Amino acid sequence: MAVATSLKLLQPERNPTDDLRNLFHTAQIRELTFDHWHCFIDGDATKNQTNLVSRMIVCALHDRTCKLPLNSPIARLPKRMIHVRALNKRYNELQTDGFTALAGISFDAMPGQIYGLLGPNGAGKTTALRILSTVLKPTSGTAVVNGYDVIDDPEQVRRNIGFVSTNTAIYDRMTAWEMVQYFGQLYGIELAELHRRMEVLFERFQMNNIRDVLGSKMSTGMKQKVSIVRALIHDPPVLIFDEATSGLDILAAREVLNTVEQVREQGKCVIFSSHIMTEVQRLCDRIAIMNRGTILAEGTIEKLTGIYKEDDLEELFFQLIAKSEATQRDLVAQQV
Amino acid sequence: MKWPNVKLIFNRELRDQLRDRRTLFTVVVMPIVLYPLMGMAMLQVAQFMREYPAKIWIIGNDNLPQSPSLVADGQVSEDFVSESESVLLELSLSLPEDDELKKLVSQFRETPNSPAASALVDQLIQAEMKARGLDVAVVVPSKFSIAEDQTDEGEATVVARANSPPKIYIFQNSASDQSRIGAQRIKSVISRWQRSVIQQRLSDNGISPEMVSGIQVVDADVADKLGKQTAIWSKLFPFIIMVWSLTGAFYPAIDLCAGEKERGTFETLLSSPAARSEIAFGKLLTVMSFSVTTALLNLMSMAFTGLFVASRMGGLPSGMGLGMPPLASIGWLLLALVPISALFSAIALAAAAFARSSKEGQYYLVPLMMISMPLMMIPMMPSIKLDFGTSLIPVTGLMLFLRGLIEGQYAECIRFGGPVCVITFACCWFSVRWVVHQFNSESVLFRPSERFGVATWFRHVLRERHELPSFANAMLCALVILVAKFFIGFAVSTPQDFFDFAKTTVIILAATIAVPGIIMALLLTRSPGKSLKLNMCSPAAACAAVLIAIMLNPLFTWFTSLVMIVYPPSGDLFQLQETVANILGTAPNIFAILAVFALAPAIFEELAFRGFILSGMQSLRNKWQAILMTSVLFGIAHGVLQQSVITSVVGVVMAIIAVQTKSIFPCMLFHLTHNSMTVLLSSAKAHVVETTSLDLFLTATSGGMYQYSVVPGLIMSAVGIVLLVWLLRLNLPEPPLVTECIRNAYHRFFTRKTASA
Repeated sequence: MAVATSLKLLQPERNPTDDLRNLFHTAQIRELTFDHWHCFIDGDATKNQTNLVSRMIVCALHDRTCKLPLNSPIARLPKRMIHVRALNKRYNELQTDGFTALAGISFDAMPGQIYGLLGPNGAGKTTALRILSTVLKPTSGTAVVNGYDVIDDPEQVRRNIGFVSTNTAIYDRMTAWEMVQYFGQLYGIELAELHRRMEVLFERFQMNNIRDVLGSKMSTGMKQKVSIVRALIHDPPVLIFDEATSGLDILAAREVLNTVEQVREQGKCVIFSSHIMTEVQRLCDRIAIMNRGTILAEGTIEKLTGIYKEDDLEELFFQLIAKSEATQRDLVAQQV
Repeated sequence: MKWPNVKLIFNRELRDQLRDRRTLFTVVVMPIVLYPLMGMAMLQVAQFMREYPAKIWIIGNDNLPQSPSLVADGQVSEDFVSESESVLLELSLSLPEDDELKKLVSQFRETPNSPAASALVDQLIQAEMKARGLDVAVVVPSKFSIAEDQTDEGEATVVARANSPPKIYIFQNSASDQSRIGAQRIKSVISRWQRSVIQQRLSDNGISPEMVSGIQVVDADVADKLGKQTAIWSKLFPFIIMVWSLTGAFYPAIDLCAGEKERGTFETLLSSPAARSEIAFGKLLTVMSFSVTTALLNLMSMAFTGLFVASRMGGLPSGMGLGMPPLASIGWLLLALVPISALFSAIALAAAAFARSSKEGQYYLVPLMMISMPLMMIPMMPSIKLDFGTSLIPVTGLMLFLRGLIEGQYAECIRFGGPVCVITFACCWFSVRWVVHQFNSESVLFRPSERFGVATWFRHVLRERHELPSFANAMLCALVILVAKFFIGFAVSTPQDFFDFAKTTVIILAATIAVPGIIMALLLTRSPGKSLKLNMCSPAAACAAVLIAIMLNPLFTWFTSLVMIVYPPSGDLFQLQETVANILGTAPNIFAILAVFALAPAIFEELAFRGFILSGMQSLRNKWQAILMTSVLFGIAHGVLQQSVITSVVGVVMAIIAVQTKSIFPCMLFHLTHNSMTVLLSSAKAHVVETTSLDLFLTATSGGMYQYSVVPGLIMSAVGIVLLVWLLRLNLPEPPLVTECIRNAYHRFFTRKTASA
């Protein structure tokens, strides 16, 4: 809490959190995005950057004009595309006392990064991604996509993401072309521009031969391709692939993985959930290993293998899950 | 909501449905092909349809008079049947073959009145009829003839005979259609013959037959052809339209919601920028278009096929006069079709949204059909007409309204146009809101399949309850009250005296109104005291409530008279009032009556309505919405139309008091004062009024009752309204619960006692 601390030192009589909240809305520091603020609050920024922000806050408090220098270190801060903090999701079920699908997970993903969510079935991966795509609402916690909060601004969040789900989710009675056009129009893209983009994407994914094929007549691989094109049509900065390769044959799966890599090269942020280790090892820049709604370990693969002294990701995964299950069992035993 | 998105979703869904063979079949192909096919089948079957002659066995033909003769040459005499009719009557005059039967029949002919003999004959004749394949048996037990009467016994006997006329027995088997038809045929022949017999007897006795014919009634139909046509179409059209608009909404709704969930495309759509309300509206419009199209196509196809088949089959009976429907009726239908299909589509869509799969969707929609059907059937009954009561029933009201419009009774209809439109649009609005709610609800969209058990459900309810009741809890309470009142109404017997009446009334009030409210507050909320608004009330609030009740009494009394003028009470209501008045006559004193009519409702009704239900409605966070909805429910719970209207309005004032004072007790005081004053006014006696100088306020009406005088009444009403406005402007803090106050007082008392000790 670097900024909060410096504020406290400068103005001990004032409550720093209230000031921070107010400052988010002051004109002088409009240049600072929401992500930058979180960066400071979490204490990730360098000393110089902190000092600069502190100075700006002091200016703002005294209502002095304070402009951010163009070449300031803040401008060089990496912008967080996805920012998740203490995300909780509890399903209200009839049978049990309610089922906690997510128990306060936090992670960040940057542009040009593939962020892997790794975990067994029921770990909470899909729930987390459904919250990011605003299909579900979190019970508590925050999730911010490209500066837009999933609760406060769901429509903007949906505009900033492309979602490719586990099941290929293709309309049976629509052709590939119609489907992509429909979603493009829903994103508000003008028809001429939409057709231009569609031509490019259909060419790139070699889909011109299935343009007029109905969804019911497509193979699973074709369907997933259409799904990907549909997710890319509005050129979103964030792409979410939720177990996108499950059920695909090896050729189709490889094609999906290649696409993910291409998307990263374009500087987009990709969230890639999977339970296939090889895919994750090949693609992801950073991973989070999840089980029972919590993140067991988070970081780059090298960092994780370094910490846990295990070269093989699969072994590491097994170890972590086994440990977590054992802890869970102990907890249950204690309760009993 | 962005309408371009709605349009986009609508277009897609429409195209999707049009590419679906099943939907196309139900909506387009079936109406176009089905009815002509059915018509063709009917024409084919009609070729095989003919009337079979009824086999009639006449026993004792020789007992019949010779002139006028009923039977001639083994056939029915030509004087009484036309040629076509005579073909349909095949007579058998042979005697029974069985000896025993022969004996019995002759015995029966001698003593036809002995019950044992007639039962036995009945049985034997039946057996014989079965054995010989006969449909009807006609038994003429004793000999009678007109000529003999006159020659042998003279005029005196004719008179005696007339007192006990000769009998003819017709044995038929009512379980067989053929036998019943045969019996009818022979009866009509016999009645014609009978008329001729009477005429002959009269003329033989020198009396002109016209003398006994009394009055001749001549039927004349003043309805023109168009009127007759509209009378039929006005009943038929609304029904067909309603049935098909519901059916047309059915399948697309399932496919658009449950089907999409099943295929996994729903999640993709939800993660697109389209808002949930846009998706809901897009889908709703699609379902609506199919509903409208199905209804129209079915109607057209049915009408054309019907007319064609009718013309081919030699036309309908002349009385029906079915022709092309009047043009205006089609216009009214088209106008009414929009709200009808909007209502059915929204309900179908909301129900389908709840289903996880298409199969499950069908389970939910069948009950919907079962509920709607009676509502559509009620208006087909001849005794039902559009009045205020029926205009308030959803679907039924609209159907009756439509029927009236088609029949051209505009003046009649206009009176109830308001309620019908309000109810129809309110239903549409609620169902559309429900659809949007369903689309916003995670638990509906991503519902896991769970095993249901009453115990688990009950535990779940207890676990998930909130501090105060929810809107759904309030509606459930109102529903339970209505259903309980309905059933208990059948269970109780008519009271004999006042104590019996008092006992039943108090028990009904407590059991059907207070108990559901209290039990629900205990089970469904964490703070039952707060849910029932058992907060302390300040003396000022209590005084204000009593004062408002007194001051507004003239206004409510006048309003009651107005309601009675607008909706005159029916005969049943008068009868009920008379019964109650008789029972009240046996009351020991006025205080007993006040206890039953004022004290009991004040306590029990307030606990449920201004307590639990109002608290639930207040969860909507809209003061006026909560007040109005509670008052309407309070009105509906009173059952009788006139009383419902009056109590709804009184309920508004009581709900305002409850919301503003945040306590139930001022409401109870208001209710007690209001009801007491109404009872006292209705039982005011002339000598009491004169001796207590109440005649300053009251004037006697023609019926020996008292009514408020205009000037004092107006002044009182003005004061009452001012007080109410003053109350509305107050912003009081929530007073502590009664239980807390008692507990605190007890503790204070207890500690002081120990301290002093």
